[in-house]
Amino acid sequence: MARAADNFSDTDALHVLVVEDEPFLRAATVLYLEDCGFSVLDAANADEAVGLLQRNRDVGAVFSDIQMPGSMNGLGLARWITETLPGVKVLLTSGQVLPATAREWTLLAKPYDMAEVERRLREMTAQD
Amino acid sequence: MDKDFASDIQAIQKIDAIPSILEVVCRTTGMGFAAVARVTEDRWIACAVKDDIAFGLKPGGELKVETTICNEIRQSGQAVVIDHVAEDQAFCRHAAPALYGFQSYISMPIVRSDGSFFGTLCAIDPRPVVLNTPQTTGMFRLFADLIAFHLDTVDRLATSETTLVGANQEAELREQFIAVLGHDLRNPLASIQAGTELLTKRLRDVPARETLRLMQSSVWRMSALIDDVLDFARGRLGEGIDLNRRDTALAPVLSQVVAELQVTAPDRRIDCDFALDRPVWCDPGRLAQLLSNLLANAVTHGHAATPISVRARCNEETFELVVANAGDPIPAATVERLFQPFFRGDSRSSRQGLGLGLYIASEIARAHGGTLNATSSPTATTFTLRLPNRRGI
Repeated sequence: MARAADNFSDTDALHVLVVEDEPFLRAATVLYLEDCGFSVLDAANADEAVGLLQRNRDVGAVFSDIQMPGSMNGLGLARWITETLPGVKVLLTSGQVLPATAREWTLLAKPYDMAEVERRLREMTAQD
Repeated sequence: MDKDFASDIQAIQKIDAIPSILEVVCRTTGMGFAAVARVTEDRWIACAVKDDIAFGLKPGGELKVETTICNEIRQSGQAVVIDHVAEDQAFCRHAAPALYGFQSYISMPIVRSDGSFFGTLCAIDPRPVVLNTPQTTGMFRLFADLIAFHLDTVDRLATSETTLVGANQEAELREQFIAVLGHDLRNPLASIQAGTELLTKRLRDVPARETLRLMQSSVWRMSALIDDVLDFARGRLGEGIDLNRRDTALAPVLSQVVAELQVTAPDRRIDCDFALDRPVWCDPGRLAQLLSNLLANAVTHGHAATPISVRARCNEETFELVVANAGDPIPAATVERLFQPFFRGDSRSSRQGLGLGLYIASEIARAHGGTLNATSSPTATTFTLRLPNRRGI
């Protein structure tokens, strides 16, 4: 499955980073959000996401899975973003009962409705 | 030294009273050395020692068992008391006094509650001492019994700690199983859902879009089934359904559930009567789930032409929710089985679901410290939920 580019192509669109270790789910989510007019980057784990966020300062929102392999999970990534890049909005998703520590961030249960993901991302980034 | 004796020494060391016992033994008799010894067929090991005569034994120290009198006590189960070795007919030629240089000796068997021999509480001194009095032998007997009693307690404590650790590990494993199950079942479903939504967005072909719509409704049905199975697993295998209770204005929550159900069953009439003048102490999400399950049951089994009624009342003691529908009366024997998991009343009908809805509803009631009951008459089948409406319950 083709991966999105390392940099955003469209400079005007809202820039979103999708972080998901399941390849097909990641691909379908990226394509759907691109169809919605977002400019989308994607990462297979939190470490990769941190690298992309450090190189791409125009990311407005991150949509991330919680349970992923790597040095940190989605909650660790959300914490890192909140501390390091406070302007970046975080939307989390999980297939599990969500831990109490996750209540700080907006959470969508899996399977999620893509239209709902789009609506939440627009809502979050429109707040500023 | 092998492991078992290390644990015996540890068990004796765990008994706080041992140093005091040895102190009292020495002070009241005037003897210079006292010990608690583990004695087996082939070993004599000091577990606790009071040594004022530089005898030279420390806890863990060992004597050759065959050179001790304790070995004979192990075999006979009887105490040995010697005031003055040189004048004692039975022991004046025994090897032990000469070997260890004592003239007075007392040793009391420590016998566990199961009758097994642990060892001895013993004392020696190079000088003769009057030991053969009811006071002294009585004191040694009492202390030996006390040590045996403490050893039993230490064992029982260790056993219950092990059981507790086992139960904790099991609970952890269960939660892990439930978590992994949730993740591994929902992830592929999320992929299908995202894929069908993507295709719906891109495809213009009407029959293809209809197929995708049906696939999506299958995804949601599957998702609901996974939720039910995980709730079942939590209720049956785990700690029960967990609650996030708060004071809740429940009428809007219940109305929302009715409105959602009305979308899937637009032709059914649902009459609501909510008189809730105060907050209800509950988990609103779980109560919504409970009502949703009861309503789904009423829609499936009730007469289509007759309205379903939902009635909610509360006071400062109790919250009550009643869902009733007209329908064929349910036989009494079946009513009893309604809340069993995987129970599906009429197997001829092509119903969706696993038969977990009423079971989960009753588990939610139970988690709240309440009850869910069913009655059936020719006029109506009625489910009644009663919850205590007080904080701290």
